[in-house]
Amino acid sequence: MMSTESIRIPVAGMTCAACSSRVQRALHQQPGVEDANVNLMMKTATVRFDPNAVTPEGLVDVIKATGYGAELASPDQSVFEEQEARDRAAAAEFRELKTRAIVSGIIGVLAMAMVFSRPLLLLSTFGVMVWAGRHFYTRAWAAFRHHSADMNTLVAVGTGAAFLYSVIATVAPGFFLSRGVQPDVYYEAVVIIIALILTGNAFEARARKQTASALRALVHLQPKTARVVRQDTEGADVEVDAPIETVEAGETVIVRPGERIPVDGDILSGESAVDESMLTGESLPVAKRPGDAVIGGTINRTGAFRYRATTLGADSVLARIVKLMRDAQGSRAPIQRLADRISGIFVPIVLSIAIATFVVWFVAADTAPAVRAFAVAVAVLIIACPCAMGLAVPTAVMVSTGKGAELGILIKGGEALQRAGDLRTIVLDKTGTVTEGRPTVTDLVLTSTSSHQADDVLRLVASLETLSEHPLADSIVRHARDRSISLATPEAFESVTGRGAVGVVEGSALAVGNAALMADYAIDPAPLAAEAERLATDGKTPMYVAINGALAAVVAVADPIKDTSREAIRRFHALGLEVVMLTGDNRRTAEAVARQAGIDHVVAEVLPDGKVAEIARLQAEGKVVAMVGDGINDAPALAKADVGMAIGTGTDIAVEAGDIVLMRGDLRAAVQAVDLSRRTMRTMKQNLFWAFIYNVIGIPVAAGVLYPAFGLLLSPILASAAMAFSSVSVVTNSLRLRGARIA
Amino acid sequence: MTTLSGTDWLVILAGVAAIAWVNWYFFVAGRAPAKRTEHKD
Repeated sequence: MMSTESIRIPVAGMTCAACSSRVQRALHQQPGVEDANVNLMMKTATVRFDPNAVTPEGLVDVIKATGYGAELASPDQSVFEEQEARDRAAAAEFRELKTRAIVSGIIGVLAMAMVFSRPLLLLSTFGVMVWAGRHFYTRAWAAFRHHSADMNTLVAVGTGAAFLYSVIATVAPGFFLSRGVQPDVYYEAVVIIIALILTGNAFEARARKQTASALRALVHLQPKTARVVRQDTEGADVEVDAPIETVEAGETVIVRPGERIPVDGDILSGESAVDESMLTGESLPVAKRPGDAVIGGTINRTGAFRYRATTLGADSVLARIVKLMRDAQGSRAPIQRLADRISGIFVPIVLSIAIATFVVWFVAADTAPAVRAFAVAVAVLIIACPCAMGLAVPTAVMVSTGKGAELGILIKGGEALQRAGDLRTIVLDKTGTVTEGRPTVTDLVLTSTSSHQADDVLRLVASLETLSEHPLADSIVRHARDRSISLATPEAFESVTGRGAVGVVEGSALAVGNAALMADYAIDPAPLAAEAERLATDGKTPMYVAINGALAAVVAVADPIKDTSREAIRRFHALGLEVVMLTGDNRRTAEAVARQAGIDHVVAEVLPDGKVAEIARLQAEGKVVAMVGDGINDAPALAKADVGMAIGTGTDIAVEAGDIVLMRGDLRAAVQAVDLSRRTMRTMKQNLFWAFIYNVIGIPVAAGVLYPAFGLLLSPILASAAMAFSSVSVVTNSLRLRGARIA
Repeated sequence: MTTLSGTDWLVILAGVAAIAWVNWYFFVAGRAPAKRTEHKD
């Protein structure tokens, strides 16, 4: 059986969709390569290959043969180091492009001001082409050898032709004069075109750097050192500042107020409030006590504490989020296939149009036909750059996933974004999604004749329930402890299956349970029967309490609806979504919760496979369905839905489940995810529209269709400015998503 | 309507040939069928 390995290789020098598709094609043609995905935005090639047929070094050679740079990443680099290296490379690329653009621009302006003589112009133009624009020609040649063409081809053919024409006009002006044509030269056009395209590339590089700002912010959350308790040479415990990579699982870490928590772990001693907003989007600090989990990268606000390090390195929550984000930012949205298909055939078609333009102008122009035909053909080549088309979708995906991370929403790629933008129905799991997921005491109603105080009843009941293993008992005990009520040890306890519990606490005989239990002890529940019925109708579980043979109270336990759920469901409706709740709970409770939360439809008493069937039924009705659940129990339904949104709170982030991970246990994050996706799709469509319309208008105008009617022609210099502008405008439009106010 | 000169015809023919070559080179020659490889399981 053939085994495969996967590798990610950084690729340098790709500037447009045609570049990435060329590298991808070359990799696909290499024997032993199972699959290859080259990403323009992330500048990486992810290759699945058979190590028996081809080595990683061989893959690097294949990429280099296409004219782009490639080198293998160091295998022990962490995601943080890898991202920092990528940032450094991006900064260096921007600096270099800027220098080249400025120097070329200055030479171009001097050339236009006619400071140079023609021979000097020839030399300086050649110098600019070789120094600043060399990569256009080398990459165009590499593409040509592979029967491929990209934006470099257009620039190289356009400027190369203009340069050759000018050289002939310089060294043999008589050739032109003898044919009645002035020996004009286009040196300044060549230099200015190169300067403008480099300027556009530099702006684009800077904007691309900005689109990764969210990812960079996440990387910078990782502290470099941790204060760890270790033993000195004499075996005594000492605090040492240790590099983060030396910290081992199980070691005790100390964090003081105001410090960043270095690694994931569980608190051993001390209490504090921790600001987790950078990872979860939750604005309020979260209280932490011994036993609670803390996440590396979050900020300790108030108290000092010691904790035991748990997950480290690549397994840490932050590293997993960074990796997830990085993979997502570089992923492709299906809508991009259109742009890819067009840019693949675009350049040869433009070359054909440029040749046809030359022929038409040569035949039709009255004066100096060759010169005019030439200038118009060069303008066509220069204006038609597929860059904007290549950037339209990836920049939007990148900015949007970054914005999502700021809001505590991890979107796993362009495909998830696109599907979430098309949603019509949202299916919610009840427990833990709409409700808190932890039953708690919601009501305690005393009989009108009761001689007890509410807290006394709660103390007695909770004391009795300390010996019970029923989940409802646990919620009563927790509720009493949360209210700082001290509990007694029961003198006697008996659990009555299906009915409740009886026992003795501080000399009082207690019976806590349903009406059947009361009947067993000949206690009439009638005084509180109406109240119990009302509580049950509200989806709560009522329990009668009898003390020393007399009915004293009814206690209700329920899984309360989260404060934020009602508002979130209202916002779902405002976005035009149908809201459905799926639950394994009984119909009465489910309907009560749905009524209170404002949910349209309820499907109750379903098992996990029933949830899958229900989602399939909705999909069969032609609806695009999202499932929001807490990751583990709802995994099949999350996978079946068009978009699975997994709620992962704190350290329990179900990053593997679902297409979108909501870092807060707050349903409003799901609303934000839908809103963000819709805005992103809108931005992608705008970008694609402008990229297409620019070429649809630009190419005919450059070819001179407006000349007969209006005498309007585009010079090659104006064409290059328009081309640079189109790329920058697409990136800028995507960057607007960063400032968008999400619902 | 002006009549076309010999140079004009030459440029037209050269243009058509160039367009044909560009399209052949990038769309036809570049898509030659891949070599058949044998897989042994």
